[in-house]
Amino acid sequence: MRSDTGFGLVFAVLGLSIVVSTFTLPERLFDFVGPRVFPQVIGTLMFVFAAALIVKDIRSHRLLAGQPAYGSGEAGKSEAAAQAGERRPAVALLLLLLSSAFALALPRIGFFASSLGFLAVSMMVLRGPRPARLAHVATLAVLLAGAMYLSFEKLLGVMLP
Amino acid sequence: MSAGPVAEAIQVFLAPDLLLWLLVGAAAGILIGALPGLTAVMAITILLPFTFTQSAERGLAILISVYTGGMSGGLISAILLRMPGTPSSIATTFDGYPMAQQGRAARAMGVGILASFFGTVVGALLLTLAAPPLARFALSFGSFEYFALSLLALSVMVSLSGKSVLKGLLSGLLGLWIASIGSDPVEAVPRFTLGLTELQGGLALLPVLVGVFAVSQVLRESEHVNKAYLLPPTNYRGFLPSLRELRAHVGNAIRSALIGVYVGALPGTGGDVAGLLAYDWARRRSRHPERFGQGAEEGVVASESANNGVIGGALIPTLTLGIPGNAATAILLAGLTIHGLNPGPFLFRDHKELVYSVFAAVFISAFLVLVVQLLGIRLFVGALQFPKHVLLPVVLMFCFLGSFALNNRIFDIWVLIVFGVLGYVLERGGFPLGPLVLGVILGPIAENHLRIGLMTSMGSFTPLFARPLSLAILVLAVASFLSPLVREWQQRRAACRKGAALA
Repeated sequence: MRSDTGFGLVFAVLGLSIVVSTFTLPERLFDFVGPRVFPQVIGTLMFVFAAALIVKDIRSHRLLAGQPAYGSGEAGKSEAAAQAGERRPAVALLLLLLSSAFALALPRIGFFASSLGFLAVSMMVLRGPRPARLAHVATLAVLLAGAMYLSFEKLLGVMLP
Repeated sequence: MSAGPVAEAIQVFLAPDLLLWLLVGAAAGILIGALPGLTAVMAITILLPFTFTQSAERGLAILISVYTGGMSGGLISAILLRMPGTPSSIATTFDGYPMAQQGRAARAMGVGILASFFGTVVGALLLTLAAPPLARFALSFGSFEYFALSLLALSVMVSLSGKSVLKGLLSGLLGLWIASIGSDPVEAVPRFTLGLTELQGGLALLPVLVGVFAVSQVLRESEHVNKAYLLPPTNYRGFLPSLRELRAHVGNAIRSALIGVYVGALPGTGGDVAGLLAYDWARRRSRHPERFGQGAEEGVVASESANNGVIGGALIPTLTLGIPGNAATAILLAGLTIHGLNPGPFLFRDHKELVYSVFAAVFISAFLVLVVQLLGIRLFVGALQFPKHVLLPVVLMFCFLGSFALNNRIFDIWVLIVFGVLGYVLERGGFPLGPLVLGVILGPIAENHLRIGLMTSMGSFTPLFARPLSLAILVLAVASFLSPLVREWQQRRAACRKGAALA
């Protein structure tokens, strides 16, 4: 699915949902606008602009359909492949999962342990193809977690779990 | 108000021990302001207790130096990491980071630091010389004027949209909707809370902002596994502009600083709105608007001059009327109250020395922050020479800690992560993040003031168009909204005609 059309559909559904859900709100209690109006305007405009984005995307693809695509030759293919090879979305996903694990672990095992784990594992994940020396990473993680704990809890007075 | 007593106060402040305190305050403010997830407001809040043992003049002076440092420090991470250290530095990321990516990080910082200094000094000058009339101007703003101003600021969405106005508007509308989550501002009816108690108060701005900019940027950088460092090598030659180059920036800097002072003087608006408005105006007035967003120095000058002009501007209603100009000055007000002083008209009459010391503190802080930042440029840029696999987790940790420290809630860390994903996905789809943040900041202001205004006018929109100030701002807003669209239409027509002529 083309990305602009996909995003347009998501925004259109969101806009529609916003408008529909405002009907569960009271019309107004004591002011002249009430709690519904702003979200309704936002949702309606979102739906309209999303529809316009979808239409624009479909029309632009129809126009291009009759023309040779830019970069469709061998040079273009290898350039696209090179660009795809440079990016690894899986690493971003891993980092996201580690962040979520940190948020889950923080209230259960405390700041020091959860941050130590997060720092150590994420440094290893981000090192990529270069070999990681476990002792080096572990030492760095301990020092960083300790420094953050001391500076936030002891120096700045932020109570950490 | 004359400058003579202020000069005397400055001399008092040049005592070595007080100067040292101010230097430490400025450095602490810069450090906290530079870290994504921590803000200038946090810096003042955290350091407020340290001032209890000082006299009122000294305590306030130290807090002002922390505030000035914090507002200026935000440019460091905005330029080097594309993560605004404070909300005021959002607009600095638009051109500061592209400059850093082009190997011009030192130049971006040099220009930004000088612009910050200039903005602070202009704000301090207006505070010293014209505080009472500016305060009266700020008081003349009623609800309809605030609503019109928020529409003007929202119209900046169109300019920030880049290539696709539709995507920019959708991004902005998403931000407006996000801002409506929570209890509605007038009738306290819960909206879109999904039954969660944590959402009753709405989403805090900090985790949303840091998530959208900083966390999404970390996720994007993490994808490039073959890139070991975040920035290319930086050229330090010519990091400070020459006199000729400075002259070229003076008009933009003055205009932006004045925008900062006026916006800062309005209670409820701050450096974020000022920086974005000034950036938009600079782009419209530039001979090369197409360079904005690609590494234009003018963009950095506009944003930093405006957000530091807010410092002086926000102190105007704080000192003259006892009404805080923004969250930071609200804490300064608390500091004054703790020392047994009542801000307002009587402060000028009964405690003139304190007022002069505040003015002096702003001037001295501006110089101290300038010196610390200029001397620290190599250190700041050098810190980015740490490998990416160490820097990115550390940056994320500061984002987590900053969000958690706000309300001591794990929920805010989850908000940070969710908005990090949202920012990442939106940018992959070509949706600009500036309009989204604009919507989040301005949504509550626009809705709140329109509804209050209509309550006072018994449901009539007439005052919106009948009051000269609100009408003038409204006309500006409409022009600001339409002009990029008209320009784009004219360019397309010209391109069609050229194509037809060639054919």
